[in-house]
Amino acid sequence: MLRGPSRPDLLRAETLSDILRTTARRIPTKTALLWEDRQVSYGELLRTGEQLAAGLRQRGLRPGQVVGLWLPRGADLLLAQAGIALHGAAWLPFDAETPPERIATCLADAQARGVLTTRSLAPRLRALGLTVWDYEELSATPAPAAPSATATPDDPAYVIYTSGSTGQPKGIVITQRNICHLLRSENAMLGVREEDLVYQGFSVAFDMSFEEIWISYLVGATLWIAPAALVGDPEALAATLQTRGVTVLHAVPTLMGLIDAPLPDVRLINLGGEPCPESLVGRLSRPGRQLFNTYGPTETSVTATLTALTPGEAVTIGRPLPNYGVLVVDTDRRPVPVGEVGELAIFGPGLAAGYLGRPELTAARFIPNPLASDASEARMYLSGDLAQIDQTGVVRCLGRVDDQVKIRGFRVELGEIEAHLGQEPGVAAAAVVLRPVAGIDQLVGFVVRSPGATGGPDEWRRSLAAKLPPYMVPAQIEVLTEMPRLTSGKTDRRQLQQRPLSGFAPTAAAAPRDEDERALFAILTRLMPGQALRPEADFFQDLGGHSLLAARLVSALRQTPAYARLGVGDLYRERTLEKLARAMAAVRARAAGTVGRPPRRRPDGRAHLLCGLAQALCLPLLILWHISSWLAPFFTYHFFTGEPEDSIGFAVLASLGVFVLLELASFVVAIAGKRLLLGRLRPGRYPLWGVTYFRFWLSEKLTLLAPVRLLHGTGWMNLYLRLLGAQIGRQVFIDSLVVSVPELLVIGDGADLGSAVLIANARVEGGELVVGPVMIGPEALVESNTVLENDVHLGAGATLEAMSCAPAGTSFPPRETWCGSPPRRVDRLRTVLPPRPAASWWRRALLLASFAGAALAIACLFFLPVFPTFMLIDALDARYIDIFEADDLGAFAAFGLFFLLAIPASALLVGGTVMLTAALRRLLIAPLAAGRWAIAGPAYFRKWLVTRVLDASLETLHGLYASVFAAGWLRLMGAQVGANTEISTATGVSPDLLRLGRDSFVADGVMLGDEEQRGGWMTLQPTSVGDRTFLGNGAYLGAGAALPDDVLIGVQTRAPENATLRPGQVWLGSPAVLLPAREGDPGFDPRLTFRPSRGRWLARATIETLRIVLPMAFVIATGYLIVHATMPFAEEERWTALAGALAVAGCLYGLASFLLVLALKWTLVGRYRPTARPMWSLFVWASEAVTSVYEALAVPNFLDFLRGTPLLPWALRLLGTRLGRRVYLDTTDVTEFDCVIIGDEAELNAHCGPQTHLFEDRVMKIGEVRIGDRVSVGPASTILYDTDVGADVRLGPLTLVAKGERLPADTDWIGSPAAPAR
Amino acid sequence: MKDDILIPAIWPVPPPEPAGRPTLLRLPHAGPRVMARAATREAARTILGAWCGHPIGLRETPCGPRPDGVAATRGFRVSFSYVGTEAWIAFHVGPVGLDACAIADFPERAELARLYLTETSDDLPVEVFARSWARLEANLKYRERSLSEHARVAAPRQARDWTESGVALAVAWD
Repeated sequence: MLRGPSRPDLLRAETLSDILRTTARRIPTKTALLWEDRQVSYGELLRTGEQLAAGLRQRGLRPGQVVGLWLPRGADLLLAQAGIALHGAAWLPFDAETPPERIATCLADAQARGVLTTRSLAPRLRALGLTVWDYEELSATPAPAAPSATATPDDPAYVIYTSGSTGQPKGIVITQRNICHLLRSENAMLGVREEDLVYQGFSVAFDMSFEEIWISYLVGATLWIAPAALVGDPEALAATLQTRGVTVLHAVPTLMGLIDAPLPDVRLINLGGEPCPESLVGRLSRPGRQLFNTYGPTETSVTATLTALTPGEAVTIGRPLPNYGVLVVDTDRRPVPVGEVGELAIFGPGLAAGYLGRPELTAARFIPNPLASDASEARMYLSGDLAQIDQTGVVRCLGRVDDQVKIRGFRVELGEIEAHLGQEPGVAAAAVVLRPVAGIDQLVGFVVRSPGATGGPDEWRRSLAAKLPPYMVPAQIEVLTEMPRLTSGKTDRRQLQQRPLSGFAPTAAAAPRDEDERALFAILTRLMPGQALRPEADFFQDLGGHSLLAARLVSALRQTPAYARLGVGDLYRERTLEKLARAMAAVRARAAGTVGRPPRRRPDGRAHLLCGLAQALCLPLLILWHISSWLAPFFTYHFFTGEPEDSIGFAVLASLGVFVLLELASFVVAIAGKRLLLGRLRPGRYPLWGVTYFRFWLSEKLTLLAPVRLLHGTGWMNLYLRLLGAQIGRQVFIDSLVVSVPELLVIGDGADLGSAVLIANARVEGGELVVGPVMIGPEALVESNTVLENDVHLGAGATLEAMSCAPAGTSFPPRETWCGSPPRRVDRLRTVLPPRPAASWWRRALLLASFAGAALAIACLFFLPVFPTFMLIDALDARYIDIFEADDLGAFAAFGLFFLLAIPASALLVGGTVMLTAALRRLLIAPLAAGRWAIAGPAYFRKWLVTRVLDASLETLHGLYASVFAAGWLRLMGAQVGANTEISTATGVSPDLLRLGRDSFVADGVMLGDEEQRGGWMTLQPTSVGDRTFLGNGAYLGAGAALPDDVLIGVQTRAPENATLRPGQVWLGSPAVLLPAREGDPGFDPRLTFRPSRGRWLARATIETLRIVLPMAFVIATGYLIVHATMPFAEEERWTALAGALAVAGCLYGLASFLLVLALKWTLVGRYRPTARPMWSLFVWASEAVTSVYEALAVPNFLDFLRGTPLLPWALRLLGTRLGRRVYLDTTDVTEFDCVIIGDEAELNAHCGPQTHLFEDRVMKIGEVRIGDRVSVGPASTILYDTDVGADVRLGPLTLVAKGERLPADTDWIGSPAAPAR
Repeated sequence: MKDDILIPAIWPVPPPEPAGRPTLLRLPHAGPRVMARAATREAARTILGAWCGHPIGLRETPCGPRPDGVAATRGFRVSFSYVGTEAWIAFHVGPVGLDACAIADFPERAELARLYLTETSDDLPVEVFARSWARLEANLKYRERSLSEHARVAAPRQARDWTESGVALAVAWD
């Protein structure tokens, strides 16, 4: 015999209500329950519980009486349970899935006075004549002034039913004294504490839920109630446990075996409910974590023995809990010696009184204890488990003694099922055994029919399914002529175990009954020749299907267009042929309705031509205005210089004045143009290339003229959007935002929008401009790099996380958090922020003035280095050439001379800008520190200044990025960058808080440490990237990300949580999924990839210097040429002629920028073809030079204005892209032009693009992207190389088509990575 | 059930392998898959019973069969695979996934390679396909996940292949 420690202090006369009240009064504000986004404090738990208790009392329920409890999982269920406890009644809990008939049986057996359930479930119980109490109604009962009389410690606390051999389930009554002692006794060993966050995953019908719920109530811990969907999804559960910071887990070993995550915050794991595998102990153990194995039948109040588990030691069920005792007895119920195997018996204060209304059974299982030392140990419970107590005094459990069987983890008595089966009409005798059927342990029923009976196995199974839980319904019922009997008259179970089953006999094939079955059977006949196909056959079990056959079957079915949207998951869900055929029918019906896809509007060739002509007429004016922002100050400076008496200072001031005036005027032009031209665009679908489309295009191009970047992250952005027609509430924070139709944007009070948010509420699809509103509710949060299409509604307080999309028509309920592309609801606990910091009106006004002044000052400062450049050129010209005075100099010769002079001047300009920026950064802006800062405060202002300086530098110093100088540039700005790390373009950087390791690679457009801005607060955290880590184009790292070494974060991928990252991993998508492995090393010499020679480094640096300086020299030389050509008009005061000449010159400049790229592309690179070239090779440098000039000169000065016109396809054709007819292109994001093939009438929306190269492993791999006819590519989507997008495919927003994908024609895809849209 | 189809091939019972290494059994079978499945499970129970010294049951779970009783306590896992007229069983103390895939050509091969193996080549050799498929499936079984299009599953911590008499095979284990 073994006894646990004697602890008289744990033996108290108390009830569950005493425990709950004591804790709730001690810590009323402490959170007791977390359920989805709801928090229930202990005070609220007590208040609501008392209201429910009062309601129950009013309905006549007395303390000590039994009440059923049938609510779905959630906070309400635990509130209802607390209410019953506070009233002093006993609950009889049922799973949400329990059939109402079984509930009725148990309620009747327990003589329950009624059942507490929700309004939605109540009708099912009322139909059975039960007394039903609405939870909703009871919880509205006024709270009593003081709690009334409650239960005594010997009243029942709960009743739990287990399977019973008589056909009736048996109820076990546990008293308040039993369970209260257990809570104290078990926690004396476990040590759950008030500061713990405890996972609540068990059903309340399983008594291990007491360990979760009531031990937490005992100590005042917080319970996190897991949503039902998570309980069955170990991967998602693990991720959520980590995010939530759960510290205590009570779980069955099976669940823990499926969780393959470190769960660093979990400090205590209590395993129980089934045998614990030894291998699990090693896996779960870690320093600082306690691991327990607990054992106990329901009859002894949850747990009777416990052991701390240690890796490498045998798993046992340990020793008795304090005040408990165990012994092992033989078949005559006599104690056996140590080491011998027998049945385990348990005694102690947790022992139930017995089975409800089953005195014989109680007497059989609850027997006198031969070793009792006092009256409290007089009885013991025979557990039915085989066990031995070893020499060291621990108990080993060795399995079951009796005929109870375990199926799918449930304890089942076969007799109960037999009794039910025997009551079925037409059944004369019934027996049930557990035996392998088709290799699986299944319950098999055997029935002898009554004479003349007509019922059959299918009806009996259906009837049992209505009365019993699914695991108790026999998988197969065999009809026998007579039941095999032993001589004693009992059923010969051994013979039933062994007799052949009819299911093994060959079955005849059946004819298909409809077109879906015909299609299915036709393919199965080919794939599985010789199989007897019957609608009820299970593809895997009966036909011997396996995964490869499943994949082949679905693939073959998808060849029929009507079934193109079928996935292999459908076959895993619908395993029988008839169910699969039904799924096929549903898919076919959806295909017939084309999933709400309206018929494609065929473009009108004439409209296309006319629209193009109208757009072409507008282009010179648009380009001129854009060019004038630098040409006018350029001209002004030279107008006021050139004579000996001229003042350089005055010329500089005049030039700056013109610059500032034009910047401000651009806002006026954008706002006035937008309002006058377009007015308010109404939601709807308009023909592409029609009049409305043209007006939309022109207004969008006008807004392109305004330097909106100056307003980012300030209150001016809100004002600007309001002036454009948007409805922006109070205290809205917008970092940076692009919106297609501002007048259809509504943002509620207190909402926050991160950076690079794209509101694509007008986009082109199916030959139409689709326009709709976007509503962002009050206090909602839209994080960075998100894309919202038309007709999207984000509820109050809802969150759309970074790198997520909201496809057209999506509605996000209030306070929910959604993440990813396509968006999925996530259960994420966010740090609770302090209240929004108050800011007086004068402080806000001062801030607005500061932002305005600083924005203009930064713009001017970045313009300043141009003046020394002018001075140098003018000085050189005056000393050596004197171009301005040479009358006979032709334009080409003048340009050539200016270009030569501009080369050293451009070098001076770049150098000057770098020095100025660094000086600004280092001398005027104090370093930023990690922490939480008010947005209306100085720290945010400093952060904003740094961001603006970096943004401004991206314009003047664009050429520095993706060069050998990029890392040095970021170091100069304050970042820590390791040796040999390559950086293309990084955004969202807080340099003081950024650390990049060595040999890493940051591709284009990577968001590197995006800070959190919400609720009036900015949170800065350090961001670090390890060595040899690769961040793909458009990847996203939030502030606080810490990437280990050798990680690859793919294109358009949101880096996962730090805790899940391990060195060497490859992640792709949003949310990111772990890929098996990256592509193998293509085998280039390391000197061409990671370890270049000094000579090669110098060669690249030289080429990149030229790449930076020469385009700038081109710009300056062009400016001088224009001044040279137009100055005579000014000198002659022919102002109209001057304006006309400047207009023509401006447009020619835009065109010349494009022609320069064209010339460079064809001379330096020629035709792009699929290839793999190491990074340190001439081809790559030349290609990067072309890309850099294309992005820095041709796009902003010319091609950007061609977006959405029929002219852009022509421009790209000249660069080598193969485009079909009437292609709609709202993007210039093309690099290896010849590798892009786009079919007729394809539509590429804003910010999307074919990504024809990647730089993984420092090798530039180039491949083709083929986009078929009439394909529609959603906003911000990326199509990687080696892809073929079939005709009429539609890609959703923020969708990533991964390398090598072949998307079948006429299908819809969405997500990162792309998956069939369902 | 005809005992002579399968059972004799597994006698004598192989000795238990050192912990930490998977044990692989190869059995011939000539009956329908459904019978082979029952027989291999019977064989697995027999072997586990011999190793553990107790009768062992196999409990069917949504993620495949799991040993019960003492075998469960010791952490044994099993994985089954069938190809042609052969059945394979892998035993391991810890998670295990086993798959065998026949080398065969069929029309859907290129599409399957693209959708499930993320292979880009249209003319993936049949041997490479079979090997990749067996690896994927073994990995899925190891991780207790079902097949789905474009599912990127993490690679097993270690993987080893055998190629024997026209059968590509992969096993993944801790």
